[in-house]
Amino acid sequence: MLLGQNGLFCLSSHQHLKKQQNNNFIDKLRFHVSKCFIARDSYWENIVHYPTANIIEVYKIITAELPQVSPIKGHTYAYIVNLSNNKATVLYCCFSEEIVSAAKAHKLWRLLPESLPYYRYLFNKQGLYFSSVALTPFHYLTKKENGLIQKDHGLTKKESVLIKERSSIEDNAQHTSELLLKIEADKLSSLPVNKNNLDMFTTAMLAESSTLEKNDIHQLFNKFNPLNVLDFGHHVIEKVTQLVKKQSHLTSYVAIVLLTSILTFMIGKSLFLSWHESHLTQLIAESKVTANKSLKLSNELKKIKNDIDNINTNLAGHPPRTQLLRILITLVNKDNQLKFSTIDISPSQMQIRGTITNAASLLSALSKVTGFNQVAFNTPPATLRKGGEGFNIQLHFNDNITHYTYQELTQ
Amino acid sequence: MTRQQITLLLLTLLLAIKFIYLPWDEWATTTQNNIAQLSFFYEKQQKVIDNEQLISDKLGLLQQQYKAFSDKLPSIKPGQKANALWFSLVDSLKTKDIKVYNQKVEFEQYITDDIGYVAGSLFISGKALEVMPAILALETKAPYVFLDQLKLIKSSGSRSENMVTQLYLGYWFSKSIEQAP
Repeated sequence: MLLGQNGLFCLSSHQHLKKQQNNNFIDKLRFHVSKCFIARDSYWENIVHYPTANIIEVYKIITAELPQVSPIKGHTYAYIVNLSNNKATVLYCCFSEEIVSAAKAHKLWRLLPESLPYYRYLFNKQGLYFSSVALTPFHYLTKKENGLIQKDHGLTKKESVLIKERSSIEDNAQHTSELLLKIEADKLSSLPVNKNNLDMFTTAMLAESSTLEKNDIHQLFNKFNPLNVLDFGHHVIEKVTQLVKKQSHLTSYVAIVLLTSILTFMIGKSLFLSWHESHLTQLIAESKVTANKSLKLSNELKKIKNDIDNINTNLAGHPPRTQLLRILITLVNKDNQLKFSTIDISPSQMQIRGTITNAASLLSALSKVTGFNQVAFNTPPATLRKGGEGFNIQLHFNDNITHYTYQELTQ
Repeated sequence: MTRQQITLLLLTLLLAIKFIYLPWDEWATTTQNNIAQLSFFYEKQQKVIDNEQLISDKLGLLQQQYKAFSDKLPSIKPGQKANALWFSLVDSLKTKDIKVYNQKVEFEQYITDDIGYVAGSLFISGKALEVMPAILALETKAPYVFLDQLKLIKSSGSRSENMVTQLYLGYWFSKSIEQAP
């Protein structure tokens, strides 16, 4: 927004402006919290440099300077242009009563001087600059007009024509905001330009100046600057302070309601937590006797399960050897003349020695038994003088041959 | 509202936060944690109470199985060692035709509080026709008796002793638990 003596203008495009004129709650809120630049011809300004970059010190200095810095009557504000190299550059502005009243009429409160964004953007870029910004008139409808447009039925022909004519005249008029800016090492200044009424000095300066491009202007208005946050914070604090001063009784009520709500919440939550805790403690104590009995049973169950598992594991680790002996006996017959001289059975392997007509056939037969594996000759079969072969076979066996489990025994 | 009043208000606010709100918040957080723990414990307690009958039934079943196994085991009195049981088992093998010698108890191991086994080694010699039935007789007592290792050797000695057997023999037992007075 740009507020000048000619009225309220918008820096955004015409279409965007139309979107903002729907007059719903969000649009109104957006309008009232918008930044409002005061046109250069509506305020006095002065740039001052302070030899400190400490923001608290700058604040103290500004607070002390503010009441007497302006030579004219009005509302004086201070804005920090730059903080660097142990130097603070402050822009003092004095807005006229009329312009502040106009802003208040539109309920605009984030007031900024038009030259401020230029100074912040062009700081340390010495030269003479000319800026021309196209403006779009902002149709701020009165409550009556707004009501009439919304109802439509209540709009008389004459009123409708008047509103349309006003909008059309304002839309068709060419509005621009033109500024001449002089940026020097320690001096920053700006001058509003009215091309219809140029003096010879201004004409000469205009000829020397370099014109700021549209992109530069767009960038300087939209580029993020931490000092913008500072401005916003200051505006919010000022607005709240004003509200508190104006509506002191309402503020007291709000504060009381807020405080009471917080206290009620704290007390309520405390009571609920205390009750819940004591209720649970009581419930646990009541069912403790029953639970102890159940827990004892549960522990006994765990113990007996563990015991039975241990017994089963041990029984499985000591399977009977009868099955092994039975398999060996089945291998003996008259044809093969099998005779064992040694049978050595240890927990997982067996070694057998003896004589047989054909040791290889014995090895083959043993290999076919389920549960036997790694069946091999320990030493090569030896041919005997009397006929037949001596063998020394080693094999491993597993639990698949046979074993008892605890359940099998007790069934 | 003067600057002094604002300062006092801010100071009061900060003091209230420091000495009222923060301690209260800490207390509330601790109580909430405590409630969460109590709730968890209570839920667990209720679960155990609800499942009591189920637990009791299962316990009864397992106790029966356990008793069925332990009842078949020879028992010793508290404070006694199981060596005597093992030696009596070995003595039961002796006949006039077979010799039992070098018998010694290696160790006894408790698998549960009152059930365990005692293990030892021994040699048996004699005719194969006499020794083998003795070994098979031991095997018939399985799983209360088990042969962990078994070595059968054809002896080259006299005809009356043509087989020597080395056994590593284990014997399960139970210990009767002393009743509380």
